[in-house]
Amino acid sequence: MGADVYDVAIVGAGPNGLTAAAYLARAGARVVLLERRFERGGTFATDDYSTPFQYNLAQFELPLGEELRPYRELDLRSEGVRFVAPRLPFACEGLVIGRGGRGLGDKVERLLAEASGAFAPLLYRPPAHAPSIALADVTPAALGESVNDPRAGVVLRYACGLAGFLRGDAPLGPAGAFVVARLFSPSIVVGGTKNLANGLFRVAARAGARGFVSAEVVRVERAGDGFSLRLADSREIHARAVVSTLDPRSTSLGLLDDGLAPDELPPAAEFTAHFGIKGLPPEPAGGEEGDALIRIFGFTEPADVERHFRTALEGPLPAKVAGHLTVVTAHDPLQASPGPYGPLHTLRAQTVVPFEHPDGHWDRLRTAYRAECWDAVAAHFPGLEEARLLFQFCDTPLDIKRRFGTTQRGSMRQGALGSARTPVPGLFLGGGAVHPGVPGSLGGGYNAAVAVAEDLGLAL
Amino acid sequence: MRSAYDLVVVGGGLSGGLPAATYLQKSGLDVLVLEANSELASFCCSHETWPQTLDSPHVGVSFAGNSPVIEDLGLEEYGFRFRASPVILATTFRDGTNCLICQDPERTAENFSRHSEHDGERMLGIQERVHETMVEFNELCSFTPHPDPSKLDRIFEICAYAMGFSVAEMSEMSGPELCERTFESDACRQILMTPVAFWEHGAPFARGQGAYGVTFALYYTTGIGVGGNEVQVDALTQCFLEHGGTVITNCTVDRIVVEGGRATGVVLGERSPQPGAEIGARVGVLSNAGVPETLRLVGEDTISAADTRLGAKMRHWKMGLRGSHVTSWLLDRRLSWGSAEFDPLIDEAILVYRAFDSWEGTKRYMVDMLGNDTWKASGQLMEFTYYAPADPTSVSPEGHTILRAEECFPYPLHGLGGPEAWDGPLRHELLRARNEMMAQLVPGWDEIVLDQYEWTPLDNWRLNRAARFGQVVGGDFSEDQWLLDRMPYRMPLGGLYMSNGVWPVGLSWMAAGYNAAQVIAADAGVRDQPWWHARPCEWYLGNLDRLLAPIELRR
Repeated sequence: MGADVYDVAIVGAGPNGLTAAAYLARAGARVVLLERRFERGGTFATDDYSTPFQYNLAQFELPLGEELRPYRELDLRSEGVRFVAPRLPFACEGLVIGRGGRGLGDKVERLLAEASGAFAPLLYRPPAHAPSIALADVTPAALGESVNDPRAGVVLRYACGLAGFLRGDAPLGPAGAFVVARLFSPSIVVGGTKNLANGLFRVAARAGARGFVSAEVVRVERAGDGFSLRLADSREIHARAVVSTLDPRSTSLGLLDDGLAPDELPPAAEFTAHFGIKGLPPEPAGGEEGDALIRIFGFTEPADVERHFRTALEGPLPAKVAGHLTVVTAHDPLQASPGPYGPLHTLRAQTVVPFEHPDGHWDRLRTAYRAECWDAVAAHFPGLEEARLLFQFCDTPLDIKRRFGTTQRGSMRQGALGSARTPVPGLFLGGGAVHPGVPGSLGGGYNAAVAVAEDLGLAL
Repeated sequence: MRSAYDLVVVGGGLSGGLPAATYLQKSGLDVLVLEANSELASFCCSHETWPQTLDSPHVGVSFAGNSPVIEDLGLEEYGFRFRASPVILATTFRDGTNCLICQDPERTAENFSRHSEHDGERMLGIQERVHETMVEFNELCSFTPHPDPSKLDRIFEICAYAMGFSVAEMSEMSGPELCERTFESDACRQILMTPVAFWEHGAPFARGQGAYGVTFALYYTTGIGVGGNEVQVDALTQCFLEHGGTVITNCTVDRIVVEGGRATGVVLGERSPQPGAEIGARVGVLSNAGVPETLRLVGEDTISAADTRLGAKMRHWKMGLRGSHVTSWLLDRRLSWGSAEFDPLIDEAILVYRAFDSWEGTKRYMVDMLGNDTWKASGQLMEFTYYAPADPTSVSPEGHTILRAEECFPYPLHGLGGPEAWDGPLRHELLRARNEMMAQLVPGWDEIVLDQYEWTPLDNWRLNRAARFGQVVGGDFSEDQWLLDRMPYRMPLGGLYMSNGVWPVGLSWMAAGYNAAQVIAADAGVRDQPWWHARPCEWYLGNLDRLLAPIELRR
């Protein structure tokens, strides 16, 4: 096949690449989406591994649901994309936290509401100075200690860890504060996060965008008044403009200085285990804990969380598996098959571990640690030992880095927050590494589409 | 979702619903596809079960090469890439030998001759005659709405010609008899019988049906979609959407509405965006949900009132004989079979069978399967699919690869606790036995496996509601359900069509969807399209050099 010419080539069909493709194709651009993996969706990956269970490999909850600007503007409801809003985002040792942080005290609730409200208007516009946000100046450690109930402290400190703040001593910053705040008002995509990616893709494909998988871009070069993209299998694609959703270092590809390298990321990250069970999900007697989305276990005070994270960052495996359990199907039954012979439930357990296993290679040790995770959750949540474990899968931090090349060292957070424009005319950045840097907001893709449309003279 | 479309397709599967929808949308109809699962064609999927390795657990190899769909719909323009292996299918034996059917008949003969010179010569002629009749056979037998008795005589003539017998002789032979009269070596007899024994392609011991079933299996092409077989789904979906089609996933259907003897729409189910909503269908409804589900959706009384015999046949449709127990293994390297010393080309194969230890063992296995003896059948016959030789993107940068193995077992588990026993220790015990066999087929097996998982016929059914009892091909296709007695595409109610349970079986060759599209397009008066003219296998045969060219990665 000869070289194809497109108006816009988008490198990476993750959430932002798909968003940019949908907007630009709808505006009339000839778009090609190039994805290295076997499937589109990037961190919006929901895989079933061909089992009767849906597993969200990276993001299982999103900071925004129907409030997502592309959801409204691209009419994703008509594509069948739906959300549920879990009533109780967190639970810890009998303490349950409602949406917006209800149960954490008025002071914290106000901090979360302010961070959420002040940063939201910045998501879908070029980087701008954030208004003063009180939570942005707070460190994770201080946030954990700011409440009287130690369980509330655990929840807050643990939430910061989920937002990518394993170290407790640096302030959250405006985007970090927003991510932490939205963990207390999460949304789940019905059927799994990939459904949002599929909805975006359908909009793009209906408008004529082409999407290729197993298409790894290894080089981008100037060619005439556009670019030539070379794929690992020697195919070549030409485009007037390029949007890269990779991190800035990968995007340089000989065109940009390495000055844009992302900031350093910590040497520890989440180990995620996925379990497909037959049986009832765990429901502690009394309380509402069974209805909570993120059920933290293994910590009694915020210092325990701090210690766990620090241990993992310093290299050893934490002494015990502590983290959280999510019964995904308790919130969205469509993430497991209805049967026959049920009930079937999808469980997700996460705990923070060092990026490198201290005793060997994660590839040889992942199944043993997965078993430890199961033992830990089964010991902590009464009723689980009765369940029949039909399927088990897991991702070490190394696995996450291999799956999603743009997530440095297994963290979902990339850090650097630049503009969609680069010093090279026609080359744009649109991934999680540029403003707003809020995973799941689709802001990076949206803002890249706006910049490309301006240059190509298209009306979005 | 609007309140009415021309055509509503229930079930966006790869073999039936999705290709039919795409042909008809491209022909100008306004088509809605409703899929119960989160993804279209979730049975024909690519998974990255372990990082940067490709797992394609159900549809391990693709038969798309047989299909006219690739050319008609221009699937390559939508990103579909396909590769074939120099080996069409292989069997590996515990005694260190193997048997290969290759793209090149001379190369097949070379391998067969290592077992018997007579068999090598015989196979050379057979394979040349199969190639010669490939297009016509596929057109008559698979890519035409059956049942069509008028075409049957010519199909039998072609088969007899290919095998070097008369039609009268073929019609008197069982499958094993045909193998015995054709080849003298155990190995060559076995490779001929293997796909038939595995798939129960026709009843192997039935006179005529057995011999024709063996011959039919020689008319498949094998290949893979680059990046996994989901690229085929992807390309179809992009084509469908670009022509204006509508897809709604996570959407079950409760009922197909029949008014005045006509299917006029569907009512959405509980697991849908609008439970209870009715969506109209101006031209009709195509059910890809399988026979028992379609009967439930339409209502037994309604079908029986229109056609008593069909109602009874649907009620008693045989779904339950066999299901698959499958393993995917993560390996820390590229696989090399123990029999590679005998003929190293086996390491290039994407479809390999662990065949029996003797020809007598082959026949014994088939008898054990008929007797529903799960443990006796275990470890005898396995189908392996392996992407790495044809698709380097399936191999991780560290060199990790995924091997998939499938064994067929009786679904009901008589004497072992019934169907629910699939959730018990049995699933793991069967895997343990499989690993023991692997250690005899692959040197150093225990060292190279990093992780594994297995799934059962019950998981199959849970994943794919059309695959009742884990049966994925739309009911058994042997004996009374062979060829002429499959379900009709055009149902006895106006505007109601089926594409699952019909002839031919549901496979990645998309024949059922192609045929359903032909019938519906004729009824709707849109069949005459300038782009709708491809013949089966022509794209594959015409591009074989390109499809065999290795992909090299420079990362």
